[in-house]
Amino acid sequence: MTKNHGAHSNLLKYQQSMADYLLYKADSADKHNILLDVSRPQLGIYRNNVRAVCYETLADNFETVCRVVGEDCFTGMVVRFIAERPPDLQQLSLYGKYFPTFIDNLPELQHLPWLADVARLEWQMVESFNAPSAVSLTASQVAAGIEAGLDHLALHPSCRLMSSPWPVVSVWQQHWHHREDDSQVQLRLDTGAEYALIFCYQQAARIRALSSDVYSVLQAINRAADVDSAEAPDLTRPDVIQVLAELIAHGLFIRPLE
Amino acid sequence: MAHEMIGLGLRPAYYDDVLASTPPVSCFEIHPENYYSAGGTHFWLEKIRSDYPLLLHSVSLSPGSAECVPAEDIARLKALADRYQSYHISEHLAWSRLGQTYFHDLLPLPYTPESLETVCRNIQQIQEGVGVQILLENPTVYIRFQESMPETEFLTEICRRTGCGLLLDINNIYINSINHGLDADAYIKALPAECVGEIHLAGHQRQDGEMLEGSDRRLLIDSHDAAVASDVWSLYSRHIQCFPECPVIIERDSNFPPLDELLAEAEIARTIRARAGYVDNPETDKSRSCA
Repeated sequence: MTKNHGAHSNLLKYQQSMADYLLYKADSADKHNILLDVSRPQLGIYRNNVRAVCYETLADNFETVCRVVGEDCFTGMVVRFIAERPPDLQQLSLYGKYFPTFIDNLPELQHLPWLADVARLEWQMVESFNAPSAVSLTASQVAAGIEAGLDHLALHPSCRLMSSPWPVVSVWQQHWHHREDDSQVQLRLDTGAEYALIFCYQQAARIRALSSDVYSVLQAINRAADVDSAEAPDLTRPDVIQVLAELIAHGLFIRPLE
Repeated sequence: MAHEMIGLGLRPAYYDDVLASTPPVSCFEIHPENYYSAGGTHFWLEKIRSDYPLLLHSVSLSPGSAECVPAEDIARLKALADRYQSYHISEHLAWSRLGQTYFHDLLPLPYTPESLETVCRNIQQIQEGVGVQILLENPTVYIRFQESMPETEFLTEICRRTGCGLLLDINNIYINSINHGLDADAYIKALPAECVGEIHLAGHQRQDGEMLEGSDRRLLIDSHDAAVASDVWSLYSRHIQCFPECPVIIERDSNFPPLDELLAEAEIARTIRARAGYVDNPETDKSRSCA
């Protein structure tokens, strides 16, 4: 919590006025002309700086979104997003939690109904990268956990599961494969829903496409620690076994938190 | 003979090179805000910390805010300092937060009696929270206020009232001297040299467009995206005797060159110090306490 010192503080009035200017809510700072020598034209440097750092952070965190809409459109989105949801954390690299919802509500982007889910996928990567570390279980410990019941296992804190009615993993992968060139990403949107596991391995966030069945199994594992009578999923299917083996190899199973 | 430290601002672009080559600098300085999440970049920082002292250069505590500093913000800094055993901590004479909004820019404040009271209150709150003296950096300022005391007077009074020290950014002094027609040498001489605990050197850009009012020069921007300018090196050279015991940090925040270019700049700083009679040894300096 912060506490204001003096509602009549000239400093506070100036900072509130300057904040409105920086966040594109006012055309000029210090409209009451309390403190600022407004004849100086360099005031815009500060607004540009704020916009630039927000743009760079959002463009880093939502690289695919930026590429899909283009830099000019993305700049316009950033300006509006700054006004609506300015950074509220000390760590700038975690700016953008609400960007997917913001995209959902942008009338100009209604012709790209899948874009917000692409943004959600990219945000999950940001969260995954910044998740705490945890001690991974060995293969034999995981096997023992499965034997004892799924509530003896949990997914690593960096793991995120995501489903979308749109082929967002394919969109992201196409972008990733073409990120070093200028070629236009060819989107096919008729392939239906897609599912993904987002996780961090060797200090990089990664995406693993899943079938809907495997997605359900991982969801069951994720929930087992929280649900007393979780329905046991079928872990003997070959596709499930393959993904579980990958998760073990990547150290993505841990003991549930007490 | 003084043993002083010459270090670099540590940014993610250099993690791998630093770990691969353990370059001949005495310390690295980080922005603590980049390490407040539980995962992410701690993997690299822990490894680098095992070879080098870290200096913490905060950009978000906002001592110039009319509001108090959130206790949780100070606690985060303290926790990071404890985790990495790094208690050489600095902030900026600026504000960057209002309510729940963090602007991630160093915004100017008028140097009025009200601001002085406010900054001193916030500095004291920070120092009590982290448990050590902090250093306050002189800012780059692009605007002027109707009513303002000289910045040197303002900083000196903050040091006197709070016991904090100063981080002298030579590049900021140079930029302000050009943009506002001030005397950079007089500025440095007006500050209490005994309070200065660190020196920053960085690059700047000359803005395209119209000339500064009443001048044949163009506006300078504190961009940290270029090599240290020759005029800034000269300014540092002229005053090095005032601050012989201070760590010197070369900052670069964008347009990252190969690490070797930054090391070459560190070598320039070392040469300037050697000419003035101060010989540095990165290996022995590494083991010195920064606090």
